[in-house]
Amino acid sequence: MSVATSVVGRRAPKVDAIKLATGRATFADDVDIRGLLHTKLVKSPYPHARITSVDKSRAEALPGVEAVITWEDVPRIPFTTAGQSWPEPSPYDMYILDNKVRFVGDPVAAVCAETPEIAARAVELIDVGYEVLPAILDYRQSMNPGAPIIHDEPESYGIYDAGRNIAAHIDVEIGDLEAGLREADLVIEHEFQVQYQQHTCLEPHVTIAFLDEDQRLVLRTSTQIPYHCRRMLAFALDIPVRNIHVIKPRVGGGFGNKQEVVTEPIAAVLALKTRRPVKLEYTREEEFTIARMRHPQHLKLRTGVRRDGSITANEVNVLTNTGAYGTHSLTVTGNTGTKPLPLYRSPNMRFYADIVYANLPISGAFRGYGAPQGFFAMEVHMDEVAESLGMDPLEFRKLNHIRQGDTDLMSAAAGEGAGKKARVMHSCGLPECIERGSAAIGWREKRGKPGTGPRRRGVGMCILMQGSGVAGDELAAAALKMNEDASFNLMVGSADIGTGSDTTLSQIAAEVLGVPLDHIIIKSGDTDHISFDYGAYASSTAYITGTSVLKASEDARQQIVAVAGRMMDEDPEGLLVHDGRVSSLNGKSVSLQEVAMECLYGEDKKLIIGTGSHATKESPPPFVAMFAEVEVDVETGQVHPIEIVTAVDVGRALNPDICEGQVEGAVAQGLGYALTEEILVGDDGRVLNPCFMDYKIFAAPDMPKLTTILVEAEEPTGPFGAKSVAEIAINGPAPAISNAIYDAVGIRLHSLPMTAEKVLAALDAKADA
Amino acid sequence: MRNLREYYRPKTGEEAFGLKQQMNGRGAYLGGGTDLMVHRPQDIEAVIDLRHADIGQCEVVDGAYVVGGGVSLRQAEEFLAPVAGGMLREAVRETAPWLIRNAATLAGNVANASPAADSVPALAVLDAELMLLGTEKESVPLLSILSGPHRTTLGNRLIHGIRIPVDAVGRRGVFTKLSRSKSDIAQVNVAVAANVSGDRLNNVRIALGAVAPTVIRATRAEAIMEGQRLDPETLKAAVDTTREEVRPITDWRASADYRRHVSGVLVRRALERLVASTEEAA
Amino acid sequence: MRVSCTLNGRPIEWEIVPNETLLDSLRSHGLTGTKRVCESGECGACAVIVDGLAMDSCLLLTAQIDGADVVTVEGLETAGTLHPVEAAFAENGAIQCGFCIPGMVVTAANFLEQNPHPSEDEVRHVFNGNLCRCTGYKKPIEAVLNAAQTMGEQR
Repeated sequence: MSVATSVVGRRAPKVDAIKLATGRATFADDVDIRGLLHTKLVKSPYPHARITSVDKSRAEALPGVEAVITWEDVPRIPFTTAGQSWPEPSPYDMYILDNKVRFVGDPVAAVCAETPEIAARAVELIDVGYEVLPAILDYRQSMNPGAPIIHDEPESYGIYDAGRNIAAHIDVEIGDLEAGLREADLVIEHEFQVQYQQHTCLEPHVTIAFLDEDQRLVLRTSTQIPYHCRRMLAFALDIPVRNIHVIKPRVGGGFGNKQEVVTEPIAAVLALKTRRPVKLEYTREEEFTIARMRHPQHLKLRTGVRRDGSITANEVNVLTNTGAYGTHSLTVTGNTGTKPLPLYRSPNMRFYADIVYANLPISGAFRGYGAPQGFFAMEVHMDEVAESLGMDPLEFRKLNHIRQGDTDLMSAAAGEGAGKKARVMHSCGLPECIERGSAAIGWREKRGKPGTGPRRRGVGMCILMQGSGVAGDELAAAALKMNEDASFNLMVGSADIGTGSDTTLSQIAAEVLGVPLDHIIIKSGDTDHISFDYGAYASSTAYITGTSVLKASEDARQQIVAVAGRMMDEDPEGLLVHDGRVSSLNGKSVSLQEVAMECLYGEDKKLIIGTGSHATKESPPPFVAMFAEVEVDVETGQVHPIEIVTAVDVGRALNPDICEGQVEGAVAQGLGYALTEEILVGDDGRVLNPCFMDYKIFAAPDMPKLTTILVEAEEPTGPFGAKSVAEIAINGPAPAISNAIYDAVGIRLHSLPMTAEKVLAALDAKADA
Repeated sequence: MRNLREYYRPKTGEEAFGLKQQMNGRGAYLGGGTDLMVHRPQDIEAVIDLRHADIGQCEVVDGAYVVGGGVSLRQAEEFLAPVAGGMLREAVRETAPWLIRNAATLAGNVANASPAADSVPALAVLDAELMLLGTEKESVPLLSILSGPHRTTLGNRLIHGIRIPVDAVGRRGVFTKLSRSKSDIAQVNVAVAANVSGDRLNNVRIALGAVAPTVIRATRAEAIMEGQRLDPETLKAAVDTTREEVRPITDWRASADYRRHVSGVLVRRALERLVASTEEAA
Repeated sequence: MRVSCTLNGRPIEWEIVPNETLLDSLRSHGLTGTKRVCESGECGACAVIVDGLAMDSCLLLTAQIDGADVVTVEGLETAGTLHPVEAAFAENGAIQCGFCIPGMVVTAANFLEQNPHPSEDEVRHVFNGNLCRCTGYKKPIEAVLNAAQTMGEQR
C-alpha cells in the first residue's frame, strides 16, 4: 500500500525543463573563457606499435602553440579511466600518454594552441617514429599461444594474465552444474555473438581545465562521475585531492561513455603546464573511434531442463573483447552472467568468462553494462528451450522466473557484488508485468498468426532484471538548508545527465518538507559542494541518492518540528509538515516561513540544516516484461518493428513522465542495438563508419509504437518504494525482436545486429533444409 | 575548408560560370552547401554562391516542368507534385530530411553524382534533361553526365535547369528504396515509369541506384516490358534481366549478392504497383 | 570580410573569415543555444531559421547569410514568454539531456508556421534530421502536436 503523496508520483515538469527548452542551459562548452587554449591530438595510425621517437620541435616553433606533450611530459602512473569505486576493479593499464599504442587512434601526443586551426596545423608538424608490431584484430585469437602481448609493460597491474592477453576472468558456480546437467531430460546449447555499439551522446566529451585564483585545478567537464573523476585525477597526476575541483555542468548525454575520465587527464596536464585554461573536445569522429563502446562478446549458453519445464542447470560462458584497455573489463562482463542467470530458478548455475585484450577500440561502460549482451543470449536461448519442451515461451517463463522472497545467490558469487550479501527479492512485480504487457500487445491473439504474403507478422517477448546501484558499493550524501521564504537549497553530488534526477530528488525533498517543487533549489555534481556521490551509473541515483535526500530532508524536518513545537507550545512528535505549514492535531499551526524567520532572526537562533548519507548492501532489481511485434519482409529480409510494449516494475514511479522517458529512450537504443547499429573495424584496425551517416541509430521515422506500463511493486528499501528504471529497458528489444522474428518466419537469429541480409540468408538456409 | 578564402555571390548564371572558369579548379559552386560542406575538399579556395543568381525559378514551359539550378529540394518537391502521379515528389522527399531539403538544391543533388542519390533514378525514368550553361547553352540527358561515383563530365559547366519533357510528365511512376533505416543512403533504389494504355505498358523506363558506379537504366529489361502486359512470364524475364544488368559491389552497407537479389524484388514490386495504381485511378 | 544581417530581430554586423560556418559564428558571439554535435548535417542540433526556413547552421558559411534574416533558438521566446513549442516540450516531459532540444524546437517552430495542422506521421518525418539519443522521440512528437493545438487556439 503506497504512502499517499502530493509531489512524489506526480508528472511534474522537470525543474530544468525551461532553461533546456530555450537553449539557455549552459553545457560545458557554453561559456566564454578568456585566454582559452584549444587542444588537438596526435593519434596512432597503427593498431599496435611502439613509439620510437617524437620530434615536436617544428610544432613547438609554430606561433600560437603553447605546449606539446608526449609520454615524457606526463607522470608515468598506471591508472584506469573507469569511473568506479575505489579500489577500482579494473586493471591499472592506462597512462595519460604512453610510449606504446594499442589501437588505431590511440593518442600519442597533444598540442594546445591559441586556435583550433593552429593546433591542427601543429599536429601535422609532429613527426612520430613507430616500430610497428603484429596486431590482434580478432579477439577470438587473443589468447592463442604466441599471440602478441598487448600489455607487456612492467608497470601495469591488476591484469589477470597479461601474457595471455586476459584482462579479467570469472569462474563461479552455484551448486554443481555437471550434476544438474545429468539430472536433466534435455540439454540445450546455443551460441551468440554481439557487436560494438557506440553511445553517440549528442554532446561529445569535452573538458575545460584551468587554475583558479587559488591555483587549484578546476575541471569543467561533461562527466557522469565528478567525485570519482576528482579522486582518479589526483592519483594519476599525483596531486592532492584538495587541489582539484570538478564541476559537472549540464551534460548532453552519457549512457556510460562518460563514466570514464576520457578528456580530463590530458586537459589537466596541459592546464598545469601552461597555467592557462585549456579545452579538449572530441570531434564526432573521435567519439566514434577513441571514446568508448559496448563490449562485443561471444556467448555460449547451456541449459538442462526436465520434461515438466523446470530447470536443473544453467550455464553462461562468455568471451569478451575489452579492446586495447581493460576499463570496466571485469565488471561489465560480470553483469552478463549475474543479471540474466538469477532470473531463472535453477539450483545449479555456472558462469565462466574470459575478458581479453585486442588491438581494437576500447570497450567500456554502456547503459545496461553487460546485461544487454547477456539478456540477448539468455532470452533467445530460453525461447528455444521452451520450444524444445513444446511449451509456450510465456508459460515457460512464468513457471521458472524468480519470485518475491527468493534469494539471488549469483549476486554474491560474481561481479561487483562478489563476496557480499546475496540479494533477496523484497519486491518483484514481474508477474504483473507479464500479465499487463502480454495483454497490451495482444499476445494470445497475435501469436502464431504470421499471415501469408511477403510480409509476415510475429510477436516475441523477454523478461529482464537489472539492479539499483552497485550492491554494497555506493555512497551518496546530501545537504539542505532553509531560507527565509521556506525554500531550501539542496546540494547533491549526483550527476543529472538528462535522467531527470535533479527533478526526482527535488520531488523527494519537497514531499518531506511539505513545500511546492519550486521551493527546492537544487545544485548537483560539484565536488566543492557539501555532498558526495559515486555518480550516475548502475541505475543508482533515485535509489541511493534519493534515500540520502530523504534522510537529509527528514533531518531538516525534525529540526523544523522542534522549532515549531516551541513556537506553538506543542509536542513535536505530533506535528505534521504539509502544504507550507506545520500543524498540530488540535488545529494549531504556523507557516514554514514563520518557522524560518524564527530560526534565523528570533530568540533561539539556529540554521535549519539537514544532512543525510546513505550506503546500502541492497540493490533491488527492477523487472521488465517486454513484448515486440514485428513485420518481416521475406523477400528482402527487412524487419520492421511495429510495437514495443514495456511493462516495468520500478517499485514506485517517483515521476511517471521521467520513468516513461527513460524507458522510451532505452528502447530506442535497444532497437538500434538489435537492428541497425554496429561499429565496423577494417583489416587495418580502423573504424570504417565513424559518422552518423554510416553508423545508424534509430531516427524518428524508424520508431515503432511504444507503450510503457509502469508497475509499482513497492520496494521496502527504496525511497517511497522506488527502485530504478534508467538502464533495464535497453536489454529488451534485441531478444524480444529475435523471438518475434521466429514467430513470424520461423528463423532464429543469434547475432546482432539482425540485418536484412542475415534474415534473408537464414530464410534461404531454412528453405534449403 | 581551411584554404577557403574567397566568397562570391554572382547575380547571373553567366557570371557564375565566368568565375568558375577563371578559378581553374580552385573554385566550387555552392548550391545549398549540403554536400560541399560535408565533404569539405581541402583544395577549394573559393566558393561561388548560386542562390542569388537568376537560376532560382520553377516554371512550366509548354507543358515541360523546369526546375531552376538554384531551386531547393523543398521548392522542387512541391512544384513537381503533379509530375508522374507524385512519384518525383516522393523521390525528392526521400533524398534527405526536411532540414536539409530546405537548403539543398536539386541540381546540386544531381551534380553530387552519388550512385545512391534518390532523385536521380526518378528523374532518369522521366527522361530528365540538364540545361547546362558553359561557353554556350546546351541540353543533355541527365544520365549522360554521370561518369562514376561522385564524378561527372560537367567540368566548369553550371546546371541552370532540370527539365522534365512534356511527354514524360503524364507517365505513371513509382519510386522505391531499400535502406538499413529510414534516414540512410539506399542499399538499392528503383524508379519505374511508363504510359499505361489499356493493360499495356509503353515508354517503359527502369532506373536503379546503388548497384553500379552511377545510376543506370536497365535498358534490356525495359525492352522486354515495352508494349507488353504485366503477365507473370514477362515480369519474371524483366526481373531476371535486371539482375544481370546491375553491377553492384559489396560494401559494408550490403553485399553484391544481396543488392542483386533485391534489385529484382524492387523492380517487380514497382512494376506491380505501377499497374495497380493505374487500375485504381481508372 | 564583413557580414550584416538581422539576427533574432536585431541588425548585426560581424567581421568574419570566409571559411567560418554560421555555427562557429553564432557560438563565438555568445549564442550558445545552437549546438555543435556532428558538423555534417546529420543531427539537426545546430538548426537555425534563415529567411523563414530551418536549416543546419554547420553546413552554412556565415558569408551565405549576409543580408538574410536569421532566427536562433534564443529568438523564439518573446519578452520572456516561451514560444508555444518550447512550453509544450517543457510541460510534456519531452526533454532529457536537452542537447538536441534547441534544434528540435527550432525545426518544429518553423515547421508549424508552414504546416499548422500536421499529422503525427508528418511530424515524425520532419524530425528525420533531428537525432535524439535520450527520448525515443515519442514525447517530443507529442509536444509538437500539443503545440500545434495551442497555436491553433491562439489564432
